[in-house]
Amino acid sequence: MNNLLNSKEMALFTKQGFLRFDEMIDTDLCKEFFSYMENPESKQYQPQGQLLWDVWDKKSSIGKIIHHPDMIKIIHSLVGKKPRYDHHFPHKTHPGKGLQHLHQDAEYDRRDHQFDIQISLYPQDTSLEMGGTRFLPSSHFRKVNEATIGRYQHIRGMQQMVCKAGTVLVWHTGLWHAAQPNISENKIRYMFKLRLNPMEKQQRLFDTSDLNDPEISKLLNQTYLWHGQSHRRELFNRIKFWRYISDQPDYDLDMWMTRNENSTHYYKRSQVT
Amino acid sequence: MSELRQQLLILYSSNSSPDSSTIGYSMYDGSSDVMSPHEVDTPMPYDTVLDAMRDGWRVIQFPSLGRQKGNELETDYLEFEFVLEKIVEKPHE
Repeated sequence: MNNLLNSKEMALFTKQGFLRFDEMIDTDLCKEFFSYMENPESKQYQPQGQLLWDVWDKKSSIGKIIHHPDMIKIIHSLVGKKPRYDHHFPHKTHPGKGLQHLHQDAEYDRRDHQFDIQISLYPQDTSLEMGGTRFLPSSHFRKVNEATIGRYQHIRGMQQMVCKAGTVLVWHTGLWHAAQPNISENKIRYMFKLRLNPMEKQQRLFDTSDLNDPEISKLLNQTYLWHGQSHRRELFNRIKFWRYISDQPDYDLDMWMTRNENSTHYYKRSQVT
Repeated sequence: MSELRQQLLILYSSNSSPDSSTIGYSMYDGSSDVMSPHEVDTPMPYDTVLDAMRDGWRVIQFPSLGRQKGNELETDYLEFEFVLEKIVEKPHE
């Protein structure tokens, strides 16, 4: 098994701003993880700025999850081998609680192409009624100011996490999202969140052996209905991001950037006859 | 004596025309104490703003056009936001 995400998976991440891995963590480890989630001390931030791999004991349930081979694969491919621990939080939402306004976590992040990731782990079967995270695919390049988008309720293509235990959602910190209310009768919803910073250039951190697969340009070209009239501008966002993470400064789709960069001569008025 | 309340329907369109397709909506109902849940796959209430107008909704805010010079290629908020209202009688309790 390859120990890195491939280029097609990274193109999918570029297009939609997240990757979903269903039932990645086995149910026994998920069950073991509940003792950590229920421990009030789990809510304490670890000292920020540490190397992730040093934060938790490898033998603890959270340590086993962080060091799970598939988790390492995801982390290495997106933020590199030396990820910095930013913060974490174990969410526990009782029935009748949990409604959040749509928001963006990292509006203050003004980096052009470098990005942090958030990892959300759902350690139990999460039904629609339990109110898993809702999010808007392909919103990650839109810098808005935190919950100024709070009045947006329904946007075409929005998704909500409904999943089996052990499912992991890995997302770009620019993705618009919110917790849904827990409207179940008696099920507490659990979700563990971890944010990581890259500590190296996020270029070609993934498996690039399929970099020339034609499927990649198809993925990057796909439209979202909700982009409406801004679809072309979203393509520019994707091309710039893909150029950076794949280290292909001349990469383009249908010549969109090439046209824009075709800065020709500017004739002096006297030269125009 | 009747008690009148305002309902707000915010429609997000794919471009600036009221007959372009709806890409999102929000509903704030001043006549009800119930907040509508934010299900992710609900159908749009109207295909276009014009359809909503034909159903009695009054447009009270139109999106303005153009972006600041130099920012034409930026992407951020939903650009074409139409705010519509209905004035309705508060239901008897």
